[in-house]
Amino acid sequence: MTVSIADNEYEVQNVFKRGSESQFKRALRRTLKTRSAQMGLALVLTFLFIGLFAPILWPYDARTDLDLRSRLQPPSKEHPFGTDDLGRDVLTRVIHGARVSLQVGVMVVAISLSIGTILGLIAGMLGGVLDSFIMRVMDVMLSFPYVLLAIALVAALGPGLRNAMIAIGIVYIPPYARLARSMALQIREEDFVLAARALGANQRRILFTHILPNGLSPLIVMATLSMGTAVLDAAALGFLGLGQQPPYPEWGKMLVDSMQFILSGSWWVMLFPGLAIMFTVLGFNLLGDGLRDALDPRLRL
Amino acid sequence: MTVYILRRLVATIPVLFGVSLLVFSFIHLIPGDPALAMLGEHATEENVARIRERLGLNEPLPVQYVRFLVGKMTFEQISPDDVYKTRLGKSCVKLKKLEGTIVCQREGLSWTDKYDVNACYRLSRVMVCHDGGVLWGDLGNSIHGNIPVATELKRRFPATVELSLAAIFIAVIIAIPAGVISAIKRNSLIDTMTMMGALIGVSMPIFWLAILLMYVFGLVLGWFPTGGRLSVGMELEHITGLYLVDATLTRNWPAFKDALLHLVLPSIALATIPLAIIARMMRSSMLEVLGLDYVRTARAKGLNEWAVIIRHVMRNALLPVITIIGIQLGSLMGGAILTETVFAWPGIGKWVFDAISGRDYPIVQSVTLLVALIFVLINLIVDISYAFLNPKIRYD
Repeated sequence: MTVSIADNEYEVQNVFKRGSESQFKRALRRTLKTRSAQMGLALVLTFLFIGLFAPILWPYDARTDLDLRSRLQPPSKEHPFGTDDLGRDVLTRVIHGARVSLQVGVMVVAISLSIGTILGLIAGMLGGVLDSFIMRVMDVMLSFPYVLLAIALVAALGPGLRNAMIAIGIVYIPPYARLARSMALQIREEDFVLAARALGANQRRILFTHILPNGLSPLIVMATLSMGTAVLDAAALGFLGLGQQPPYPEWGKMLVDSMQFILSGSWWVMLFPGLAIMFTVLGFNLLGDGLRDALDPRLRL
Repeated sequence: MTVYILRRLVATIPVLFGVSLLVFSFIHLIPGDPALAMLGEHATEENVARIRERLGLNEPLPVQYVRFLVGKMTFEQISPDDVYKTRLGKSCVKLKKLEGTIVCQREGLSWTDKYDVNACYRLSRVMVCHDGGVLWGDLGNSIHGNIPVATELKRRFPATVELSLAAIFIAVIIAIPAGVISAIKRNSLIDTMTMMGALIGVSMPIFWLAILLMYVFGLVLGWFPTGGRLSVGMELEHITGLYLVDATLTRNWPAFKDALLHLVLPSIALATIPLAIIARMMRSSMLEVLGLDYVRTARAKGLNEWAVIIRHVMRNALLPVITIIGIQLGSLMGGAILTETVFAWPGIGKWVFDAISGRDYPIVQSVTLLVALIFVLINLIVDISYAFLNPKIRYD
């Protein structure tokens, strides 16, 4: 079968249309049809709102927060989530912990999405030795359980929020690379890419204007879902004392600090940071599942 | 089939090589002087130099990597006289050269001695001795206490294995029926509830769940102990290191009950994530098979619905789930760090946590290497068993 120029042109135009905003709006509308995706979006928006506006709405300085007279008080009207062992208001610290988690989520996704996608696209587009090399390195990274590799990396780099974000970001690279590679392999054989090549487009143009926009939806789904897991893993590192350092509030660190006080029955110190993590991650998972169903029906579970 | 297994084995070699390289380079990621980092700010210069020497940090990197893998190796031709004296050589790992004769020493080596003694093997008429080297199973000594890592690992590893197996057992026996029922009653209330539960399961930090379980069932209700593997004063002979197995072998039922009670809460906490993932996978896999033609045929020929589900749908739907179970079992070893820390479970997870706090990198390195090896091995077994179970899958 021969492909007419007209067909190609139509396809090429269609590519731009697919990457355009109206397409995205439509996908979003489709996503928000289900109750669970709406719930996910609501949770995510709440989290974003608190994370972004906490310092304006509820100013707080962790370095000076100390009130030993009111330590370990159960939830009351004054302290809805109670107080911790240093008399600090748990609600305030949970709110400001959201900032740390938001930062982690954004940074981790930025690192892994950008590096992973570029590596995967290069591997898929160029093939050959470079492809094998990149993908073998990814295989090696996937030979470690995520949490363990992240822990080992932070243990080496030294504890702290910045290193924790870098470690989790690195650990998350392989899935993006794999996805981007399979996407490139699949799309580069499509007629519209052949057409663009025939029209004289170079590799970079093909990569950025033809392949990337067409493979965007699985990447968006993956980014949403990995925001959630990044929050979880950051909390795990915080729990092990490898993340955000005191006195700044971080949900995982708050949990590990709470452990010695639950023996005396102070359950609130432990309950609320955990709930905050759970609802945040749940939000991203619900939204991610909804997006996946709307953007890429083939991936549906 | 044999060809497939062989090719799969060969494909594992570069991965293992990469894993070893990554674990090796780990110590070089440490900013500044790793020896100083391990000993802390107040270390004497002498001690830092000693640790640098011991870790071989003064050598060029490629030499260090080879040392890491095979240790410092020496080869020596042996005369027939020596061979006579080393008849035990093969079964005896540790040998010490004393004035030209080779004496086998099985017991009675103190820790500090051990580091100086070469481990030797006899290959025909050549005596091969090595000092260190992970390929020989020599993981070096810990920084603090100078204890051989391999010895401690052997003692702690069974605890993690027992916990992981218990967790995967709980996950499988709950997740498979849950996934099946969800798929059969698709979009019903029970399905929605199960899937929501599964989603919450993957959204929860397991260390938080662990603390919650400990608080509610350990402290408030007092049904289960809150930490450790065995109550103080409970005697148990160690055979395999898996307490439930040991107690069964020695018919020590009080210890069995005690060990089981200690196991319940940590294994439930550790089981949550695999449980949720397996249940979701089982459901989607069932749904896919339920829509296939042969299922309709089976129903059309009048088979009883349960026969259709069990014999035709479940058998085929289980295939992809097996892969997931394998991967989850591997990941559990990583997740165990958190659970073990909460429940003071004396496994490798708790150990690595303590090692991180104490900056004892040889331990962190060894545990990371071991867990990655197990992970690769499990994936290999899963792939091979998958090919056995599904003749359609072939290596390409």
